[in-house]
Amino acid sequence: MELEVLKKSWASLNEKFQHTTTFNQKLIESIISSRAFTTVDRIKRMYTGFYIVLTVEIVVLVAILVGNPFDFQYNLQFLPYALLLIGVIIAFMNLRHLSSAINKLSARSTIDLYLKGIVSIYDQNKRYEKWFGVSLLAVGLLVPFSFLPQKLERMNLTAALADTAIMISISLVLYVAAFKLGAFKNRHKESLQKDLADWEELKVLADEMN
Amino acid sequence: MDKGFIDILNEHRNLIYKVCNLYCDDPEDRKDLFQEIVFQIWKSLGSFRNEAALSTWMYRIALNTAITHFKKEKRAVKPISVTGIDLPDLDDSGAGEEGLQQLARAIEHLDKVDKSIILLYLEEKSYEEISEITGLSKSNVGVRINRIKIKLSQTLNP
Repeated sequence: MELEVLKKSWASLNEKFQHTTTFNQKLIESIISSRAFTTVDRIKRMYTGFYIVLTVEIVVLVAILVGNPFDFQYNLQFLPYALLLIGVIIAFMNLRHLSSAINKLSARSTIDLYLKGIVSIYDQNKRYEKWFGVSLLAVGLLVPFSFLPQKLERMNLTAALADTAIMISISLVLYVAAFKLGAFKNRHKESLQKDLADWEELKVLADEMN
Repeated sequence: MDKGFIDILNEHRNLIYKVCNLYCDDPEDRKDLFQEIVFQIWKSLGSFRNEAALSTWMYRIALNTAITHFKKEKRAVKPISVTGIDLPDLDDSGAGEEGLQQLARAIEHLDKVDKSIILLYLEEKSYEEISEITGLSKSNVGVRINRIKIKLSQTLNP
């Protein structure tokens, strides 16, 4: 029986480790201060970044809605900004929910619960990435419409629509170019690929625990 | 730093060494994992309630950390610079300890989850304790151990 043989070896290993020197305070303090960055910590840092971006977005959007820096004349012109503000607020609230879930996640829970917790947070985070993509695209596409009434005062309908279409096209071209050039994809490509690999690995492990 | 924490670590240092040895062949990786486990224990110690035995709780943290946090390629932390740490190695067992080398060889081929189960089994933990630490059902633990026995048999008797 191999396991019985291994048990004897294990006991011998115990004996060997028992005679190692004890840790001192200086060593442990050094370890804690130079701790490794963990998967969960990386998510937390990323969420902190999201918080900052969302807060800035909310401030800017409220300033636009309240201060009317573009001299909008019709309430409808505020619609893209209002919709975006609602979206950003929802994203902000969801982010709080996720942050709370991360803080509740604890390495002291059972292995399967811990794995599932991490996988669940990764899953939810993926939805955020999509939401951010959509909200950014919405800004680029809807905002040119806000300036349509002012254009209509200066030019006829066809010219105003054409001008708006050009602005939207420019926005689209910029987005596509930025996407193709890797502004969204490759900025942290290596890091994202590692995250994805981690996530896949965690998912396999979590499945194994079932 | 709380002196109690150092005492707890010292009291259970065997446990941490074994987890580190089980999951890392490379000495530098072992040090990284060691640091991470110590940090996680330190971070969680404040919330430790006496619902579980301290060793059970520490096993959970150490194994969770070994399985989920530690990535060889992400050595984002500098190696420990403080002198005085010399993590014992399963492999440096000397010529007279063939059993330990055999143990290292056998465990090397197990996946991460199976490694945690075999470690707890070799620690003579009951199926109930293994279940409590891993979150697997007792019957699942039994099935896993049987599978591991077969794997070990194939590894040791090719």
